[in-house]
Amino acid sequence: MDILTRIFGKITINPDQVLQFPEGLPGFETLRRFTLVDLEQTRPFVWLQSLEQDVALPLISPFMIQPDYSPDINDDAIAEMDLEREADLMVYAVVVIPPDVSRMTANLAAPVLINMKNNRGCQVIVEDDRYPIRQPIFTAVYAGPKEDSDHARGDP
Amino acid sequence: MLVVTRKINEAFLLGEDVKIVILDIDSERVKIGIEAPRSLKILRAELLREVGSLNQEANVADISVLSQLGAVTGQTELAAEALQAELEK
Repeated sequence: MDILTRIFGKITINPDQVLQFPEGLPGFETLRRFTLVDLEQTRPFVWLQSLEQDVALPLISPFMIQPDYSPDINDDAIAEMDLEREADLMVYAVVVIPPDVSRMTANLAAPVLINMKNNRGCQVIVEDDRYPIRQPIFTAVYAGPKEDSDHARGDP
Repeated sequence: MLVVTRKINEAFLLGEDVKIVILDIDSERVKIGIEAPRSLKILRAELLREVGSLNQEANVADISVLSQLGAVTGQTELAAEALQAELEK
């Protein structure tokens, strides 16, 4: 199928590229079908493009921001996705890219999970102080991980 | 809405699996302990709303964001080249 998008123009989606989000996404509860758009010129970002409305959310791997990212995911969320093997799971963080791109942030508190085996996805919310909803990421994305500033401040 | 009055360390039960304990109270906030099965979703109500508005913010308004990202990458490459040149001196 072909869809017309504001960002990417016309794109062609194969049936096996259609992702089902049975519960939609917070803020977009009515949208159920998405696809991932991976453009070379916008890597490391990929785009979660809706097939029902012209909605596209930039995503990034949270492991690029926090290499030890390991949120405690509710068992039910995993069960609803019929996830059999962790190797089938893709984890992304939604990115807000404001006009001043140096202030871009990723939402580490609400990872987007996709079971690549059955193309089912969901966005879960984790309550964990280590994972803020607005984590600045520009430095990590464009200059590699930097030292933990809290740690630096703590040292005399 | 059912309204229940409780003192510190008093609790109430929701169904058979969920226990809510009032741990501490001061003038502005109350600290609540929740004992519940791991499968039960517990969220601060405003967090779901915040995630929804963040998602809407993430839904970029126009294509200029792509060229900006390109520009940033370009600058980074230029900066890396400049650094490399500096190192080779």
